[in-house]
Amino acid sequence: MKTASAGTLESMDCLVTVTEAAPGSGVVIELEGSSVSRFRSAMEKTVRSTLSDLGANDVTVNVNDHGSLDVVLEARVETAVKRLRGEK
Amino acid sequence: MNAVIENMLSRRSVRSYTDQPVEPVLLKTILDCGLYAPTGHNSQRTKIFVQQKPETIAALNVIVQRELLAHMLTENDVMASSIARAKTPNYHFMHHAGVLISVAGPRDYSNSMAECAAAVENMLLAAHSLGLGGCWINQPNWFHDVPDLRALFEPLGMRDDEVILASLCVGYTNLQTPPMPPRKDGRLICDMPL
Repeated sequence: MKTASAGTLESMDCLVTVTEAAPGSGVVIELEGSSVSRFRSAMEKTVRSTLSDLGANDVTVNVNDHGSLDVVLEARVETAVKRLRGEK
Repeated sequence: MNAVIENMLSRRSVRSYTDQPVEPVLLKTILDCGLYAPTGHNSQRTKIFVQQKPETIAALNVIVQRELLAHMLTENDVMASSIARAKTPNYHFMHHAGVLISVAGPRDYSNSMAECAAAVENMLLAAHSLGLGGCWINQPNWFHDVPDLRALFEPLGMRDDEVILASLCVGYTNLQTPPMPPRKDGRLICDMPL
C-alpha cells in the first residue's frame, strides 16, 4: 500500500500520514496528539471535508497533532494526499 | 516624462486597503510582470505563490503575529518595528490587503534572494501603474521555515528545497498618495560628474 506524509511533530503543527486503501473501503481516520481530547470532532470534520474536496474516498489518515490551526491541518492533509498521488 | 520612469518615481508603499477585491485580469497582469523579472542565466527557477483565501490569510496572520511576539529582540533588530506593530489591536501583517504574493527560490542558490526581490519590485511597480496599492511584506521571508507557515504554501506546490524570500501585498486603497519624500543625500556616488 502506498503511503505519503506531510508536516512535522513540532509545536503548532501536525504530521499527517495518508495510506491508500482498497476501493470501497472508505475513509479511516486515526487521531493522536495533545489536542485530540479537546478537538477530536472538529479535527475529524476538517479531515473528512478536505478528503471529500480532494475526492479521496478510500484512504487511511493518521494525524499526530500538536496544536495546529484548522487551516494548517487542512493544508497538511491536502499536501499528503497530493504526494500520495504523485502530484508533488 | 516617460510613463515607466514616472511610474517608478511615484510609487509609494501602501499600508491601508479597502475590501474591494482585485480583479483577476489585473492580478494576472501583475503576476506576469513578476514572471518576467530577470533571473540568472534566465534560469526561471523562482516560483510565485498567490494566497487570497480569507481563511488562509487569517491563519498566516495568526502565525506571523505569534512568531513576532515570541521573537527575542537584539540590538538593531530588523524586526523591531514589526514586533511593536504586532502588539497593537487589529494587527494585520499585510495591512488587511486581500492578496499576498510570495516569491520563492531554491534554498541553496546564492542568487535566490536577488531574483525573488526583482520579481517583487516588478510586481509593486505593475500594481502601482494599474491604480492598485502594494507593499513589500517581509514576514513570510523572516518565518519561511516555521512549519505551520510552510504548511500553508505546500498545497500550492512549494517544495522542501524552496524558500520564500520576498513577498508583497496588493489591493485597492482609499488613501491619496502623499508626496514623495526627498531622497537622502550621499546615496549617489559617481566616478564622473553627471
